[in-house]
Amino acid sequence: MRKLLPFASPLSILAMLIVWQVSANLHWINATLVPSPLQIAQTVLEQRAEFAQAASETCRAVAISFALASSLGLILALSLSTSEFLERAFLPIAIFFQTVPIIAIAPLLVIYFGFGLPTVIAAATIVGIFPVIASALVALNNTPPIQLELFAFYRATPLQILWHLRLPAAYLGVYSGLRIAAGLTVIGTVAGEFVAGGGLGALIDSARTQQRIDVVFGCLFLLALIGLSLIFLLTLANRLVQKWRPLLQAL
Amino acid sequence: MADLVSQIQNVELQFRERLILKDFSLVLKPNTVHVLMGPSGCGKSTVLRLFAGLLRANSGTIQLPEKSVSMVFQEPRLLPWLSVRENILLPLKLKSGKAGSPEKASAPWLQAVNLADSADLFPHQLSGGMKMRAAIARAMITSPQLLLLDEPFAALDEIQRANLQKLLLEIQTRDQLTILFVTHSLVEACQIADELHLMDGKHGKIRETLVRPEGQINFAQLLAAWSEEYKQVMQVQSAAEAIA
Repeated sequence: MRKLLPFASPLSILAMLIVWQVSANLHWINATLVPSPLQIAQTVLEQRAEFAQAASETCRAVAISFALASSLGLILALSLSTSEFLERAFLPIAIFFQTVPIIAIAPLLVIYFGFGLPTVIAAATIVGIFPVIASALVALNNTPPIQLELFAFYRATPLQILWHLRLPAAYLGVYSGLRIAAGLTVIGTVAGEFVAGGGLGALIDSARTQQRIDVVFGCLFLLALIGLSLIFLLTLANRLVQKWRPLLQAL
Repeated sequence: MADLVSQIQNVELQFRERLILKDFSLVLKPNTVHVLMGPSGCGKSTVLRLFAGLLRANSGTIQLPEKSVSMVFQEPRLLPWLSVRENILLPLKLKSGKAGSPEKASAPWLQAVNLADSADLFPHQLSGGMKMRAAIARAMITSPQLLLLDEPFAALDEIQRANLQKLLLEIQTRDQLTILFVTHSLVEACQIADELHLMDGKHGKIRETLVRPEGQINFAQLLAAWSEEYKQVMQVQSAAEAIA
């Protein structure tokens, strides 16, 4: 059973597609409302140029937003962790951006940045940045006191403590935050594309007006693929880091 | 100064409302193993932290050694993401920004604590005893004059503990170290102590200092003698507490 572990996810997806296809073939589900996987694949193949163009735009927006959310989130978390005053002053603002739905802010972003990529990136970054800040901040503020005492004994400078202890000790929290941000960035990108245009979000919106449910499902598959690819890349990067340094071992 | 490495005199330490040490004095002689024993919460670790500079006394004087002080904590406190060698070199790295020639600096201590073959392993790949040996090497790499140990072998089994006590005494003899060692075990104290300081539970005063007799004395005789003294001190303390 352990040998099958790496295949668990692909097998479950395959099983779901087979059940879905069989259900569609046997007319257990309404093909007008839920097209079969083969029908969706056929639509994607027929309109591959349009799908490829939209997917590449979404990929670009997700990549830029994720990079921005990760780097800005980490920088902000580091800054806030240096002072309790800063943390108390700025955390409510970060929470505000987390709690207000992005779809409500997006029209404002269109006014500020205009239609197109900048608004999409802004929307996705706002959605993706919070988990990075929150997870990294909690992790940075929870360095085990016994290790802090060790560094205090060696008269380490604040920068040495940050570089040699707090940052490596916060790795798990930062990594968890990045994984959550990966999924949220895709959501933020689509929300941004709904209002600002471009990418799979705009394609979904236009397909909706034309009642092209097969196109909507094709876009959903591609979005899932983009999200999964990003999480896969993160998992791979984590494995490489773990091979180099056992950062996930408890302190 | 020649007959003492470090000392604490008439120290008072209060934490919030609680008076932990009152009029506490302790002189550490050179090339001597001092062992500190007493009931839980009497302030043994506090004394160690005063010598380590991790705590500041409210009053009194603390005279630290001319050369450096090093400390081994109750837990090895190795950083999981650093190899054994890198952990041992950590104090040098923090002191100078870089560890110099890592091989050169760490090799003698890896050898001394029998971890030469495990230098590139990470802490999670080591046993409890190996981790503690690495912690001792890390403490010794700065060539301290005074080594402080806070119940370092408490979590180890008897065999590992005996091996580490032997290793510690070898290092102490070779480097002419002064050691201040906190323990709860009278057996351990008899194994290593030149001077055993018994603290009472009230404001952590030293009630008695037992000195290892000159000349040949076997372990059983010493244990019997010090056990008797220890019992007496504890009885006095119990009576005092009862009256109070």
